[in-house]
Amino acid sequence: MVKAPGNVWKNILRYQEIIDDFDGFVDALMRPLPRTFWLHPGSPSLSHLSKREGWDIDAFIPLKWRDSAFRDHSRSDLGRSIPYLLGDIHIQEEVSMIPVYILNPQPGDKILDLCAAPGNKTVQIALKMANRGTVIANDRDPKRLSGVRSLLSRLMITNVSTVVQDGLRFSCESNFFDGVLADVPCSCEGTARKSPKVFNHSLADLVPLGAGLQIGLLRKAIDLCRPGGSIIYSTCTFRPEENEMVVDHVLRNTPTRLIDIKLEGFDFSPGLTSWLGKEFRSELHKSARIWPHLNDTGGFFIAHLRKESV
Amino acid sequence: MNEVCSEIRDGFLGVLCQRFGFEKSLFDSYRFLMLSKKRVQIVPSDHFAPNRLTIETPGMNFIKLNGKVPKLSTSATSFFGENATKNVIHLTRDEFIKYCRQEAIEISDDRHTRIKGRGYVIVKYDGSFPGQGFAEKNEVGYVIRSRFPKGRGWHLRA
Repeated sequence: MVKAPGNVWKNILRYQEIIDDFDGFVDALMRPLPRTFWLHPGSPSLSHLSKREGWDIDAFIPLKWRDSAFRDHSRSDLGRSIPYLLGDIHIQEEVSMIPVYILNPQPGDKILDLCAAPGNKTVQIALKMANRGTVIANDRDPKRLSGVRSLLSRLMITNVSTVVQDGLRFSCESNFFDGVLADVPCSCEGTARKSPKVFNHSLADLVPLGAGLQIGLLRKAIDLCRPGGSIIYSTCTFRPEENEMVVDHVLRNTPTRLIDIKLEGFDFSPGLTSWLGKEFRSELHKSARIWPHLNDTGGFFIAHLRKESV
Repeated sequence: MNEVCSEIRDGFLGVLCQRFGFEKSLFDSYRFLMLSKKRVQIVPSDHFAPNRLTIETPGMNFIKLNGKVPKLSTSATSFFGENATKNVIHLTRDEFIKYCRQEAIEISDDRHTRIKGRGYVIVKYDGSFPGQGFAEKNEVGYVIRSRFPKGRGWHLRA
């Protein structure tokens, strides 16, 4: 076994019972994360860009589950390229593209991105809505929101307005939005392929997350969404305390139900219905756990909630 | 945030339409909001934030009104540039990279006939509209002073 500092193995081994291929999971964590990117809808074709920039187009493998997004096996420095500068391409981790795909916003919708920075999902929402309608990008950190604005500018977004508020105290009338994305702060274990140190945490460090912050943000998201609208709850961690336990708590206390997540061409495991002796609502199996070894990606958790009429 | 009054809106749209040949109807499906005395944002006409919400920045930065001539923002130029019919200058790759690095570009060939006097021009590179430059006459044609945002192109690989 590879030597690792502090609590790393302890924190990884706790998932042994819930992962089908635990060795495959550990192997995946040791490998670098493949880079993925998508094309702006107004961009020239990838073949045109590749020819112009001298890129090997065969090194770009289309993602199976969505259009105009690619896995990059080239050695090109895409982030310093002209297409990147012009907003023709945008680099985003594959699993991070999924929440907006599930939310599926439409032109003219009113959508809130409650924890928007760094803004990759915000621009996805805006472009999926064809630059029409209302997207509100909120973040509590003005510095991080400034990065969001740069991104909006580079990708030529007109339909996003930015707001600086603590998501827990987001001040706005209830039931306003057609959809809300709550991609909440978390322990980030799913990003271990980029930053292995994320596993070196102690449970005490993480108490505020599962214990209140994430539940509070999800409840706020539900309050702001209209009946019949969609709320996407997502994290980039494996910890059930920040995933199923949060959603279970909220399902019990709000007028919501879970919707099945469908992703053709992308493998995931159903959400847990129990953890360490605690039973969750059976519908938690409709949420999605994305393990790194299943698709050679980072890790993620996604739940799609529908707000019911009271 | 207040909507721009019709007098100011007609003023800057008139300047833009005259300089770049935009159809005024191009902007019919948008609303303009004053971010400050000198800065105007653009949002789609169906973009409505909740009443009680304090917006930090609405929509896209559209135009600055503090110069002698209103200046269309870089992102608005990229977004609306394809609709311009006048004062659009096509750059070669080398010129475009110079433009991104905020270096001046001399236009001495036939292209200078597309520039209708001193003032802002929209820069075009291979179908994209990365921003604006400011054209001034010189002995051989025009020199284009880059107005590409500082810092955005510094890391570009040639």
